Amino acid sequence: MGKIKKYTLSLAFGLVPLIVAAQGDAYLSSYRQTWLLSRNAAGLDAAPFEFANTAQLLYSHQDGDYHLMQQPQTDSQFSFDTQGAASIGKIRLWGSFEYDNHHSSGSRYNTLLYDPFDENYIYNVADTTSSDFNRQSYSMAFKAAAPLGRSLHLGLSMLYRDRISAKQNDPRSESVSYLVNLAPSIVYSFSSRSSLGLALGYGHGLERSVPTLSNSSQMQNVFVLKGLGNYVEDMVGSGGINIMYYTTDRAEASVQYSIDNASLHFLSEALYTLSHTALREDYSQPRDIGSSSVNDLQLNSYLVLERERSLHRLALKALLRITEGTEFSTKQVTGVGWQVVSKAIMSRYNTLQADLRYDCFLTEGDSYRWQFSSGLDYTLKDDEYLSPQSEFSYSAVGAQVQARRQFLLGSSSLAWIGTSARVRKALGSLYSYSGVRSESRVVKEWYPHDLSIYASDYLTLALDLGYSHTLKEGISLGVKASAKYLASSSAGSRCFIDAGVFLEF
Amino acid sequence: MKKVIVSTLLALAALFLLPSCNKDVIRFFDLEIALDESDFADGVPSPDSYTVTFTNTNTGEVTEFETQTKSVSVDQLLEGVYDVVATARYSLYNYLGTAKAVVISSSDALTSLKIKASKSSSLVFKEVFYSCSRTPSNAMYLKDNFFEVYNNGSEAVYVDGLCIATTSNYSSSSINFADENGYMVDTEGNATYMKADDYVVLNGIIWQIPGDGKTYLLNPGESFVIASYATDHTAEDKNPNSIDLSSAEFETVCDNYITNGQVDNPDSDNMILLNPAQATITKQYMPSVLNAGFILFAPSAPVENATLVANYASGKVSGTYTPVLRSDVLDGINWVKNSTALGWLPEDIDAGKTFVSGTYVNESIVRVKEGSSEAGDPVYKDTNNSANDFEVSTKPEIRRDTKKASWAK
Repeated sequence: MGKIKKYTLSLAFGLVPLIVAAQGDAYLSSYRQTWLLSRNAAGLDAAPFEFANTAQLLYSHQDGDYHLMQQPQTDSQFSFDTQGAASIGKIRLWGSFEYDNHHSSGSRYNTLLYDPFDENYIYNVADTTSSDFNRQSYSMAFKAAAPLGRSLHLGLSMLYRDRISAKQNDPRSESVSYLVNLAPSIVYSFSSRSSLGLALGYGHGLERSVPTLSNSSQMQNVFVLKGLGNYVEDMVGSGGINIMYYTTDRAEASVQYSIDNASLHFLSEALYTLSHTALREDYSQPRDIGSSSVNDLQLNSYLVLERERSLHRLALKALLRITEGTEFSTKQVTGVGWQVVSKAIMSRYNTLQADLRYDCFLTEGDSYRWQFSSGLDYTLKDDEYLSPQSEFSYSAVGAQVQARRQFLLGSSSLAWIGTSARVRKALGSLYSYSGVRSESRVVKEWYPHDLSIYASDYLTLALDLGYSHTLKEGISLGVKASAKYLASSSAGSRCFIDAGVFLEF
Repeated sequence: MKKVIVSTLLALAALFLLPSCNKDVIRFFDLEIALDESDFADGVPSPDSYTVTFTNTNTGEVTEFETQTKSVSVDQLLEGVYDVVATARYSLYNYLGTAKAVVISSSDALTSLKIKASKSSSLVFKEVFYSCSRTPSNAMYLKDNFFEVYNNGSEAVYVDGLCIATTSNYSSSSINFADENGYMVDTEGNATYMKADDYVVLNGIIWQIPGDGKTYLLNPGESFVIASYATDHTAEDKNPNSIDLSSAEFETVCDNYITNGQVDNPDSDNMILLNPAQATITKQYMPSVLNAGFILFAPSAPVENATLVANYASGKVSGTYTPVLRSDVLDGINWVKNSTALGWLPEDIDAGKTFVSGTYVNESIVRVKEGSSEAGDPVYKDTNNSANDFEVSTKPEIRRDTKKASWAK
């Protein structure tokens, strides 16, 4: 694993000195690059290769009562990300690096995991202690594309992600994880400037979570979660739960259809991903607890129309996710250890999300003066636990509008100010539980709280500002900041601010 | 609208979940289990009814049935691994049938349960405080555990020579006391020709009540207390959150404990320390606050002279243990950390398990009262299934509803 990490780092950072000419307005440029949004790296060779290279350092902070139980009351984050592209001969390269450092406080019901909302980890461990959590994440992505003859293009994309988290109060934990994903791809270009692509991918990941105590004399009760209020009691401390290993394997396949010419960029992608995560406790006396299978079917389409003084973009994204949780019945056999004697799919979680967004830029050269955006989205969640029968569901629609004005300040500086509003309307929600844990805090506190978050309507108002100065041709340095306030109908409010510096080159 | 969306969703789901069809589906089974009384000796009556429990060993969930017939019908039991226990009490007898870790994966996975009848022991653990407590400054306080033994019968009993001890963990996959012929092996690996199923092996030291055989008479309705440290633990220099055990009839004290600060209480008789296996003597007597199999037994032969045996898991000889005849065991309790932890004792000593809410939580386990004798003394439940026989008290108390022992000072 160390070798993979080393090579990935070398590739990601190796791109930086290769980066060449400035690409104009990075923000606007990103809207044209439809292939980069797909899983197909070969597409980089099938369309105009115009990338803006960027780097930014951001500080973000959020605070407020409007949060799910496993989300923090307050969260502070430092992040750095950079991305760039280059051509070496006929090979086109793109790479990115991201680093995030979170410090959060006031989250509960997550003892072990970096991301308890990932449905690959539905078998989690929870406790009722309000705790601080520290998290760090490194992510490196790399794409390469090259022509193979006149119409064929080959590509390869690679992702490496390394994460570590540490819960700060007993029962505490330290969790480390990695994920590697490789996806070779191919694109066939027709003479009409349209292209058809295919990408296949395989990924492997591991999260190792070590439950510990600072005060070893005080054992801590925890819930080994099975879903929707069903759990098994256990403890952290001597004789309690052991190290948890989540092993993930994922396979993906996607097809793309694209049209690219001077005034039109269109890409439509259908992507299927199957991700299987198995949970095993303690490698010395291993006990298989369960597994989850996350099936994602995504349909993403982007249409970009360029006119002489405007650019229009329509984006439609849809996700259908079906997650199955399989529980294992195990038996301890003398001289052998824990044996799995039966498996049963006990959970089925369904998610449907659809998001339609329209952006209009009034342009001037490579830049824009006005941006107007609007969007509609729909979410449906319908989760079921089979026995004892339990259900958690909600649905909601949202709409948003945004406007941004960019000003030229002299010949080498520009500034912008923007504002946006979003409203979400909950359509319905339900939590029902029919098991023997009906008086537990999981059932009486956690799920009702989270349902109240999902079931509340809210309005957000946001403002963003920025300034950038061209240091020399093709290199700009800027600062930006934004603030957002969310007010919900019945579940409190939340504030978000962020500020940072950025570089385009 | 939602129904249309959900229907569409499920249709799509059916399409792309096709490969996963017909595997790992949830399954339920109907069972008909005969309660087999064919091993009853002549004169042993058949009980009026049985309580049959199915404990899912993976989830800890318990499904309980009452039956007035000699079989139990179960509808739609979820596939899994279960401990099945049938208990009854009638006249002077306890009735017990157990099947441990049964894999319920078909309707005929368990069709019969052999029931054994045994005369009730009059001496039982009435209350056990093993979880210990915390001081006002939240430090753990380890010295205040106690064991209260009660005469639950109708005859007076001399308790001289009775012993208490912790057993080995019979649920551990790395513990096995039987060789290929079912005999225990000694510490050299030689067959002892002692049948493993006739014995329960002890792990560590043993405490024995002193006396010449007619020193300590326990009448019906009376109880006595064995304290690890017979002192007033609520004293300021100890733990005001704890309990006064200065009136305990017996305490577990030895030279090593005194060296480490325990003060011998002259009003409490000292238990005799037996250590045939040469176990390490710690600073104080404190059975596990998490998991233990704990027994009260009346040795039919001197414990000191027992042939010591070894663990023979995977054919390898390890450890030194003291065997005790199961027929000498008067009472036994599995206390465990939570509902899914496995009990330590063989199921014919305790077919269930009991647990408190955590460690150092100042909670005790108390035997459930099921009635009163003609003399008006409490009669406590004793089905050899601690899951049924005990409940948790958040206030440990000695001699709750019982009389002091006849010799008590």
